[in-house]
Amino acid sequence: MPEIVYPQDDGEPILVDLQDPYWAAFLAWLWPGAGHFYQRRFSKGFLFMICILSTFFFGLGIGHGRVVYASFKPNDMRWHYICQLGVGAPALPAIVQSMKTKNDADPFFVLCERFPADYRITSKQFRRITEQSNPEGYKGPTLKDGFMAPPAGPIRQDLPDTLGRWHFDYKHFFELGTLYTVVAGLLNILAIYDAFCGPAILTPAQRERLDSKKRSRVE
Amino acid sequence: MIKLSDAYLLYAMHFFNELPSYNHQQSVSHIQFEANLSMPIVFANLLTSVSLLGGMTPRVWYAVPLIVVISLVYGATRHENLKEILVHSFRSAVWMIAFMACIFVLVWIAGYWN
Repeated sequence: MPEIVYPQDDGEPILVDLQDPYWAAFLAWLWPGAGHFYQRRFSKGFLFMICILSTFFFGLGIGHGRVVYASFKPNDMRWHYICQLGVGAPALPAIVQSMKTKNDADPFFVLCERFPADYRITSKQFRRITEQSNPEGYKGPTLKDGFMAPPAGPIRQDLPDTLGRWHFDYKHFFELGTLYTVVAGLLNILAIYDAFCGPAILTPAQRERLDSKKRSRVE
Repeated sequence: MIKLSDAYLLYAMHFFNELPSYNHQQSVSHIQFEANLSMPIVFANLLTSVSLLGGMTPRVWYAVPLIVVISLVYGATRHENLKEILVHSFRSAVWMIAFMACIFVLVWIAGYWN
């Protein structure tokens, strides 16, 4: 049960009880702020939880639930997911969806259906199926967008595909949503560090060193 | 009455001089100084500049929540006391806005050769 003491100039040291740092770090990863709640550092726990989760879910919202997905195929290497995974449990459904759709199966939580890649009307391939876009009443196999699921169908660099349709439909919101969720994941890594090691407060000795460096620069 | 440019200069002197040797006692005097004189002016002008820029390019507003969140979380990893976290966050936010403003000016100038 390590307890860190940060001496202060005014004589009142700051005490931080890290409890079990490994368990705290795991909880901090699993749910932003949970590690700090476990250490009874409630105000910081709330701060991390509100900041990180609101950023993550705002990003997921403006990206229409499609910006967080786990795909490591040759033409769709989603490296962003490694950063997004830093946010813990909220990003984990993407792994479940990735496993579910591995053999071209339908994902959980279907958001919409699209015309297949081999649809006879070329201009409609990969487009959303709505009442307006489907007057001919197509009832065959479709591609399905799932919440946090990888883009369905083949991903090609030289031809249209579902991923290209997402970028086209959601415009800059796809990139913005990705950015927000990536930043949330990276920020939670800072929170995990804080739960594991405590805050990086400067000690009087470190301050003195910095001050002396500053003085020598001025002179 | 103090001129706006003087307020910027005073604020910049305090901001850049004290940043490497940040400590609690200095920060208190810093807050008092800013509260008395330059901080409201600088903050108001920063807000005005961001609002003007935001009016021209609405997508700039998407940077605001990110700046707030990043500075708060970064500040929280450096302090335990809420007041110190907020002071550090404000400084980080000013740094980020200033850095982004520099990049904006560079890109804007580079646009003349486009």
